[in-house]
Amino acid sequence: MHQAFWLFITFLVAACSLLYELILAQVLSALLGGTVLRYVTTIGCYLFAMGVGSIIAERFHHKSKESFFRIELLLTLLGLTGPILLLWVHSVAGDAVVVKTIFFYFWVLLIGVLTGLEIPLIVAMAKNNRVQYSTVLAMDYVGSFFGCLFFPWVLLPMWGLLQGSGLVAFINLMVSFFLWIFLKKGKDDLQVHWMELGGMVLLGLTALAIFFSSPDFEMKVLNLYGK
Amino acid sequence: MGNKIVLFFSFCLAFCSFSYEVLIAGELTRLTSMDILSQSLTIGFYILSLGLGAMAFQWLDQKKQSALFLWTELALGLLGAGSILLIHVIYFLWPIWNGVNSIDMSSSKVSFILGAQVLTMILGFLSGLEIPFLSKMLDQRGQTFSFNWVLGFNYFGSLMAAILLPLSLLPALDVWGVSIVVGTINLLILVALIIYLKPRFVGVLSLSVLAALTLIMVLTAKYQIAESFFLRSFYFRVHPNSLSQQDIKNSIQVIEHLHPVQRIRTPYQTIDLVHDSYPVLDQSHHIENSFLVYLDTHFQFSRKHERIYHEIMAHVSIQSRDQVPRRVLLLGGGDGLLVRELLKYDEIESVTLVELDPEMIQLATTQPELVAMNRNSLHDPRVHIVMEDAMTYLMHDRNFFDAVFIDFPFPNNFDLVKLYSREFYQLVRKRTTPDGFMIFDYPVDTNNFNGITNRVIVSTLQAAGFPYQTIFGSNDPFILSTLKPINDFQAKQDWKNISDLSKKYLKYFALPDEQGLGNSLVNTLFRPVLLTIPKGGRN
Repeated sequence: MHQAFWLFITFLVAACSLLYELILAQVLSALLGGTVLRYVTTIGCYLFAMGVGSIIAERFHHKSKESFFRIELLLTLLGLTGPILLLWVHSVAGDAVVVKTIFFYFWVLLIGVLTGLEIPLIVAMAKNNRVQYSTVLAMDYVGSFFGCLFFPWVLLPMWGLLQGSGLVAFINLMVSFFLWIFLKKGKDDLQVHWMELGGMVLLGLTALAIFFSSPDFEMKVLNLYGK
Repeated sequence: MGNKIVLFFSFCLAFCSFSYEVLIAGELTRLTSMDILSQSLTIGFYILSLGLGAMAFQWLDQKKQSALFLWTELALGLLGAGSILLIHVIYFLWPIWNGVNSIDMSSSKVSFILGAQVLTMILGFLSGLEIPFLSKMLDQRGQTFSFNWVLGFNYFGSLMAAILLPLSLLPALDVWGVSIVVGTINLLILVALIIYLKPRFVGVLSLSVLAALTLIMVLTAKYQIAESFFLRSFYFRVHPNSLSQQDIKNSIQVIEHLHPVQRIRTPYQTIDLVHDSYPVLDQSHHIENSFLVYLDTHFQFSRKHERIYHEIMAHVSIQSRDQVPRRVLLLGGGDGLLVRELLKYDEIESVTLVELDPEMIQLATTQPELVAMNRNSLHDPRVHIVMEDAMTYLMHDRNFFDAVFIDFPFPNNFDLVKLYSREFYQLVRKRTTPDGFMIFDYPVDTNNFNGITNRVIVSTLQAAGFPYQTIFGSNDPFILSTLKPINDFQAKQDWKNISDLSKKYLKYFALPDEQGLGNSLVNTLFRPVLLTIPKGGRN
């Protein structure tokens, strides 16, 4: 596997992870109020959780490829369902602000921890291809930077949060898909359970459906807000 | 023992570095009102520069790494403490590079935000050196702590900054105070590092630290003067024409003659009261002993012109109906000026005023100019004040109202755009009686009634369940929305309670064509269309 392959994967997953968090920050701002507060606290929690993820990454090193594949699927699920789930919790919880807030930030932290596992696992997977740790880290930063520009200038104005999460999830799934394709043949092949593959396909179709959904659908979902 | 110190340094330095990012992003938001752009760009450039700094560390000469790191922390402490000052200096001088007179238009605001990222990048780059260096400190001690712990504590420091700053430090001290405090903490950590590392050039370094601390003390003593100076430069749009000494001296002189701006920072917004007899503030406000109120640097009203605005809003809407409303809901408008007009009707039994910011109510009941303007309307027994966010109030309130007046600032940032969303108007509709109406002020595009600005709001109102709209007003039109068809009142002449001046300014505007409306234009919580389209109106 060429070095560039792993660096490109790093770039994409970094961008996707940050985009999930920026979308969540915006959802928190819409549901709880206080844009600056929500962005700052979401990013702070994200960075902290990434630190936690980095620390616990060692446990997954021996089965790095399978772990990474599963982590990306899980991340995609969390990122895709985040906006709608948080909206639903908001409508159900009503006045229980503390409970809502804890749940929302728990979601942020969960995505952060999974993201924190990415870099160490990529480095472990790419061990045989002589990829430098610092280069992977650098591509991680570049991917995050790209995500930071993409969110306010492209994603939010063109697609909004719902369709946007569909797009990001779909791209994330493409990464999982290509990983599966390129790694299942070869010496250290990737052992993937058929349920995981099924999950990947299902998630992919859902992500596409959400990305191509109409504003009508989005408004129906948002009707949850007023209940 | 030794390694725990390194983790502590990692935590503290990360706290300081991330604080600088938070401060810069916040101040850029305050200066331009472009909150999402300021936040996203600043964090993006910060992260990018962190990465660049981390990479650059590898290329540093091994023997010089220690020395460079200490000088880096000195630079960080100084620049960090002065970051707010630097941002304002850049803003003060920015029109020179831009070739404009002031930073009004979006394009110059965006260019300013980008220009300020130079500061972010310097601070980020220098901060990027921290983790690699601290990890090396671990290695030299020969311990077996993994690099991940340094990283973890670093992230933890950033988290602390992210939580402590907006939740407690910034409300307690303002941005200037926090930048000074954090910069000082940074320098104190540097002192600890010097003691711990015992570098050979201790003398030079200590003197430099002392010099830096002295500079910071000077800043602490004088920052209020700087803040007042830059506030006046901002509101009266006084910037030097070039970098020449003469031009800069001229601007400073002009600014020093202006009446200081009264700034009241609340947890929800920044209220600025501008008094002056400066001849021209901007196109539509010629000042003579003026009094203008700004919220988060956006113009709200002036003593000279507010009567026309509030008279039209209150009286045209009420008198165009068959009956005077009995129970009125007013969202926003804590200045009491609209209440003053509403109280002129005996038929109105109650005015429920929902205002988010208690400081605003405090001002409206105690500040001499404001009380004179609103004639103490907020103390009327018919007025019930609720201090709450409008959206939250609408979610739990079970009352019904015959008229809903909405007096919010224009949708300049996402927190305000939320209040013009379909979901918000749905909540209002649920509290409105079938014969009732809702009226609010909007940056209507008066030149192009089919422009996107108008189509968005009308699409949003229709999607919220308000089928009928009328647009009328002076320079700042109002949109009246009802559930039942509106009788045409354009021919009406016998308006009561409205001065002749206001009648002269009263105009009617066309609605956008039906085929121009659509669901993709609806401003929702998930798709803040209003945030990204051009808006007309006073700014």
